[in-house]
Amino acid sequence: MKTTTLLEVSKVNIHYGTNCVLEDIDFIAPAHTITAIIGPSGCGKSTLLRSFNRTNELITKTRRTGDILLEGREINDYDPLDLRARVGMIFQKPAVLPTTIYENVAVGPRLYGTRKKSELDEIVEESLTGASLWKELKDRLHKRAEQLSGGQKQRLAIARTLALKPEIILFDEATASLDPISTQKIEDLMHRLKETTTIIIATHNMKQAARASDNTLFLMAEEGEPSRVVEFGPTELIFTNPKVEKTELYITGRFG
Amino acid sequence: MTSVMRKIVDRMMFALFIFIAAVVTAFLVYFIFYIVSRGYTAFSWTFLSTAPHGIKMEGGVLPMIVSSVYLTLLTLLIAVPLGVGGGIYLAEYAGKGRIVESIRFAIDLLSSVPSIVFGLFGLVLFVQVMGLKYSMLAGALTLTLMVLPIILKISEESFRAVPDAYREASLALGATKEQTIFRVVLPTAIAGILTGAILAAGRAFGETAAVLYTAGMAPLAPVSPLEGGRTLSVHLYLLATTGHLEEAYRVAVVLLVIILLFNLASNWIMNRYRRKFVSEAI
Amino acid sequence: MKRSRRVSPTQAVLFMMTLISVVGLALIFFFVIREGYPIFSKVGLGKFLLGREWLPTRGLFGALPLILTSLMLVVGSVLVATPLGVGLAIYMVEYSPRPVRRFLKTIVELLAGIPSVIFGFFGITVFIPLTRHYFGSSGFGLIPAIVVLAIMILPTITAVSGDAIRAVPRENRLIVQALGGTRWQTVRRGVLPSAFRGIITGTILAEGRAIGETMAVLMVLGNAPMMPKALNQPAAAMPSQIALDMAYATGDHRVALFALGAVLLVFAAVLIFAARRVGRQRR
Repeated sequence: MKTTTLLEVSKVNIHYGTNCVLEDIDFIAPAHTITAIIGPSGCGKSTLLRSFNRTNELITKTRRTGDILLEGREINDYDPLDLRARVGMIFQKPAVLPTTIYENVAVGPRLYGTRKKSELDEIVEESLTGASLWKELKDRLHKRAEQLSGGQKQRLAIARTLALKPEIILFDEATASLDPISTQKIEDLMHRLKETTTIIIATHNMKQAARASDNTLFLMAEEGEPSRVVEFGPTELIFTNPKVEKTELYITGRFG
Repeated sequence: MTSVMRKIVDRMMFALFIFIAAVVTAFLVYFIFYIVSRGYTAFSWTFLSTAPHGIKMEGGVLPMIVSSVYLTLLTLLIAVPLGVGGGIYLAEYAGKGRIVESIRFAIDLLSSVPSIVFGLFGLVLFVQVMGLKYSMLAGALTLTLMVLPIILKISEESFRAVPDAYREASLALGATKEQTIFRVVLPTAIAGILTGAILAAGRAFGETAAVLYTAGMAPLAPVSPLEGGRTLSVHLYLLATTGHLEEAYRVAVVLLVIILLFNLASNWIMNRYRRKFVSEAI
Repeated sequence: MKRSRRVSPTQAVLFMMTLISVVGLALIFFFVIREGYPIFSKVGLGKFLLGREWLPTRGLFGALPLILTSLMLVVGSVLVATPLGVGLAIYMVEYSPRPVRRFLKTIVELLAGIPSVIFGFFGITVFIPLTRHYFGSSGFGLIPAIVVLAIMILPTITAVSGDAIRAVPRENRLIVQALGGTRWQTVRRGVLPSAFRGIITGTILAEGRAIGETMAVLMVLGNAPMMPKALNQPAAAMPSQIALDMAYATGDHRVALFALGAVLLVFAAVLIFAARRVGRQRR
């Protein structure tokens, strides 16, 4: 079992305007693992996550110092568009494009110039299968995607991302608006997706982090200070035998 | 390869959009420059203060300015109270019932009636049936129907833009609904209403087809609302289609400048109002 | 706010004021149809709408040439103005920095405010010579009319489709952007599909403006009420023919002009109806 480091984050500070929101963030995400970023709301989980595929540049004006390396190469040296194809993202709000289920999955390959129907058919089937949607939806591929349930929409978003065969998939509070059964399905899915990709999730749901992840990164801010890493390590250790007292207090729900 | 292609396409589309924006802007600039550069002699006291004479319509445009202003003011006099009243009703009283829905549909339909059809209608009802002949009043009544939807819509919008907190505060002080509307909501929405009125004035001032057969074409300055007159726009039409281009440029300049002033005024009010409103809210 | 179900006098008066629009609209339909109806009973509705000859002096009232010309003007001007108008709206909403956007908004508003008679005049002095130069003939005809109309309806298309584009939720853009889509791909895949109905609504409203436009068309079309044969030949449209002939028409001729007005009303009403249907369905 090779444990190559896919994503390496070191000494990262993120500023928003003149405010520093994240300071001195260090962690690594080995290939084929699930890393959970936890912490109280407003601690910058999403901001950090979004900086991995540079989608935060699209939303707010943030500034970063320090290194984020994908396969050893600084992500700012990648073309941002190519980077986003390699580092997919699932958002909190289950959103679909106002078109068919098929087109929602095919949109990614189409962006990169895949036109042949047979090729697209194959990618759509593969991606929907990968997102555990193929059996449910294979007879409704050309129906509107808006009709799907929230959980299905979120898995469709995963299929859409899978269609580009990303190396990393970022889940930004992706189950926050779903019911427990849909959440369960997504967590099962993450587990299976580990075989082909690497996953990083931002979640405020500690049980989810405990259930689903291999490693956990716990972020928190002192009053009036930027967020820092409180603890990073294997999820089992963090949740059963944390080294820092604050971690224990937080995961046992005594604050945060 | 495709990665390069899509970026090239992206660049090309960006260039295309800039090009479109530039073409539209350049057109308007050229349009204004073209007319003004040929008709700027309109900016002379004689032209603005004398009547045309002779078969070639030389001389000034005073009667046309009087007719246009007369007609526009008379139209506003009738249309603004009606439009604002209707706007108040739609914003403050109307619910979501079928009747209100059909009223809204009728307003939409009215705004889509071609201007020449307004002219036909005005000719039958006001000029002939009501016996007003070609007159300022017949023209103004016709134009009223034409601009009513604009005033209605804009005043309804500006009433809706007034925060509910204002109404609640007024009602909490014991004011009746009517008092609230007329003493609190109406003054707050006044800038919007003014904008609507100016837009309507611009439409009325520049309108030709609806005026041709209701206010008439007589090149005389009207005094009573029962007299007809020839507006600047009708004058421009007649000059341009009879080959008096030199005079036509000058009339076009006068018309264009006044319309642009209307536009700038409504923009200015809207911007000022927004700033004021925001600072008040904070 | 609802203290009693009793209607106050103020409310009644305001309601009456609102009703003026409805009454006005009804009167317009009533009078225009009443004045125009006799021609339908005289020559027959079918012969009026499908007749190929409009020769009032010989008592021939076939409106087909006028209707066809009007339709050609609508189709032509919308074909020209839609790419420009929608492109401008996309640029304003998706690309331009705020000061540029405000500047362009002013430009579009100014364009919308210019009276049609000035456009017609500009058409006579600029587009007619150009058409004459490049397409031969007298210069008057469908080409300059389509160009002038396209300019006149552009603000409508830009305003309505701009609203529709602005209303597209940010998530749709984010979906495409997160897949690595370029700016144009984001617009094309994430924005335009959702804004499609709004854009169509804009073009339908623009068609309504184009079919009713009178003065500008009257001044550049050449006003020859014959079946349109070529784009560079003079033709006559419904509204412009009404405006032109009304100056001297009497008897059946006058009635026929009102009948044309009624046909125009129906076209405009159908378009508004279509615009409302298309604009509504989504919500």
